[in-house]
Amino acid sequence: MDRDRPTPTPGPSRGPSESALQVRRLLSRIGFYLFIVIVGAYFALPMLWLVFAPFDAHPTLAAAAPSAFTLGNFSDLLKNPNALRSLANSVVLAGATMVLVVAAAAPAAYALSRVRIPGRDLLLYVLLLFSSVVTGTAAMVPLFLLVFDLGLINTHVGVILVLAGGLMPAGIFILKDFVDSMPKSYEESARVFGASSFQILRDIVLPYARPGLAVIAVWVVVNVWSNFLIPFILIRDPGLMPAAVVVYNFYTEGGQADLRLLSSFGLLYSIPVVVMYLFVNRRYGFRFYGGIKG
Amino acid sequence: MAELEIRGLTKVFPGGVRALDGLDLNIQDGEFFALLGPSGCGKTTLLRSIAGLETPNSGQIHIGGRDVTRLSPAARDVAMVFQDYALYPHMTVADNIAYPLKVRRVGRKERRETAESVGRSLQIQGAMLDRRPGQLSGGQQQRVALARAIAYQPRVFLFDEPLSNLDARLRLEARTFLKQLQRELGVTTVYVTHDQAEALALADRMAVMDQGRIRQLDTPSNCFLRPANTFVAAFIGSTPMNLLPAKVQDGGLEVAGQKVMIPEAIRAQVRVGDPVILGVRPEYVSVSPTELPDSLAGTVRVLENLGVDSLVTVEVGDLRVQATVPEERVPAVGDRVWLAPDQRRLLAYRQADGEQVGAPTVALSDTPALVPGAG
Repeated sequence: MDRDRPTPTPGPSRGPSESALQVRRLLSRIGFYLFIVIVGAYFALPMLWLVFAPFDAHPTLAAAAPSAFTLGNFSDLLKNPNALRSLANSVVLAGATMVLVVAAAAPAAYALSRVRIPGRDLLLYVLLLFSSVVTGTAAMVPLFLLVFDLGLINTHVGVILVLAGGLMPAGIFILKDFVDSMPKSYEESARVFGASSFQILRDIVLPYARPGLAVIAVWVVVNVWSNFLIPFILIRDPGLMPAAVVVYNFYTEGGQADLRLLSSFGLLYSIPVVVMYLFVNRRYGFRFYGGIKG
Repeated sequence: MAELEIRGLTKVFPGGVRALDGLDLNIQDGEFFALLGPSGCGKTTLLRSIAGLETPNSGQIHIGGRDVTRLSPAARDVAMVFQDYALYPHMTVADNIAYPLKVRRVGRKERRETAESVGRSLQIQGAMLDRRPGQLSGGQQQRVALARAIAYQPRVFLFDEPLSNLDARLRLEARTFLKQLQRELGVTTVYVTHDQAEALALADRMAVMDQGRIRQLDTPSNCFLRPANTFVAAFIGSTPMNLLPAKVQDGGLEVAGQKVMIPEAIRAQVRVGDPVILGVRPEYVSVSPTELPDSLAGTVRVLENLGVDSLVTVEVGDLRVQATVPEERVPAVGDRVWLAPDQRRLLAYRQADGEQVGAPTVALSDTPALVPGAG
């Protein structure tokens, strides 16, 4: 940085064109930093609000240091019977969906990567397209009817199945890329040594694709954690609702958003995701090798 | 330990590529056998078929008298060393070596002991056993791959160009090491390579392959001294053999408008007027600054230093003939020289099919006699 800064006293040998060039360079640098600061502030302000507002006795929509520091917002929140339970529900939904997606996507990705069937790539793209485009609002009514007919309305199982189904194609797609990047000779040598398909999957493919599995797991958890629509449609009982749905219940009697409860709940809601990110990053490292081809 | 028998093996890939074309081969117990050929000749397909990684369209493979053609790789008792070694990056060296035992559900303690004892014989020991393959040099990785194959205790070793990822000097070391190791273990070995020098140095016998067929099956010295056809002649030897079109005349051979004596062994096989291709290695052509009887006159065009010798390219009429000369007798570019091929090393091939003069017309390969009832 210091090297790039123009010296305040230009030497006598410097021509006027050179100093003009330096001024222009300085101005463009200032402009660039200004731009970065504005973009950064745009994303940082909500975060700042989330850190300050929960400890403010009278929070407003402005991100400001607490005028009157308090922990009362949290104790009020704990009096709400659904608040903590909804976080637990979110953990159950996210955890179960993650296990289901990883357990099913890993063998599926391995098989799709290794077995040659005509139209394999087309099948994958169509699945991916439908799962990412057609889900959500468009699939709301059919999904509701399907889950209703299965008798899984107002159950966690129903939500888990629908979410897992929606996330599976993209999960398979990402994992398949990891498995594709593995040299075939790994499996072939294991086969010559007598390993069964299951042994190859367990001893070689899964450990090799471990960063990929970690990526999928985190991605599923984050998706389920923040998903509002599916549990909102499929769950009626407030005691079963996940945090993303419960957060919509924090209104005052007057019908206005209760910023005290909302902000403190928002903080609690975001902590698990941040902790998980830190843990996984430490444990596996987000090495995206093989996952994304340049 | 077992002998290997291959009968009429044919493999056609989807898309119509005929990688193996009715191939017959017999490899003896304990033999070091090399499969040599240019890329795409089918040598790797043959090796993979023996391993069970490719299913042939027809033909049989017998290992130790047992028909394994339809058996899975696991049931064949063969170990393969891949070109890229295929060491598992997430396992330690010891776990890699002992992986064949893990597959057989051998206990952890015994696996470690095997890894240590096999590793010791290949100079893989101490802290190296607990490293990952990525932390090893190319030569060490290659030894780990060998150790893993040995730990499996197979009846046949299959090597797919195991030295091609090493640099030149290390390759020579590894070659010597490999040959000694194979002698000590006495396990039947099939070795695929595209490097003729490797095949000549290592093999007890070798097969030179082209387009899914064996063009010559013989000892390395016979393949070098008496190539069965122009394909083998051109493929083997670090300096390629001179292949010169010639015409049989009364009492001699006409090459590029000049006449050389016809060797006794060839004279009986040809008639006057036959077109032939004369083959002689640069090592067996002597270069003289003065005129010699039965020699070809020409002008030196290119000089290449090969270390001890130099390779001289001489223009004879519209042909180019190469010869090696010792360092003290190197001519200068532009010199007029006379080339005298060693009469005993002169070979003649039919112009029509490139097979050696005197060989039967339909000879495809020099396969040993079929064993009756083997297939």
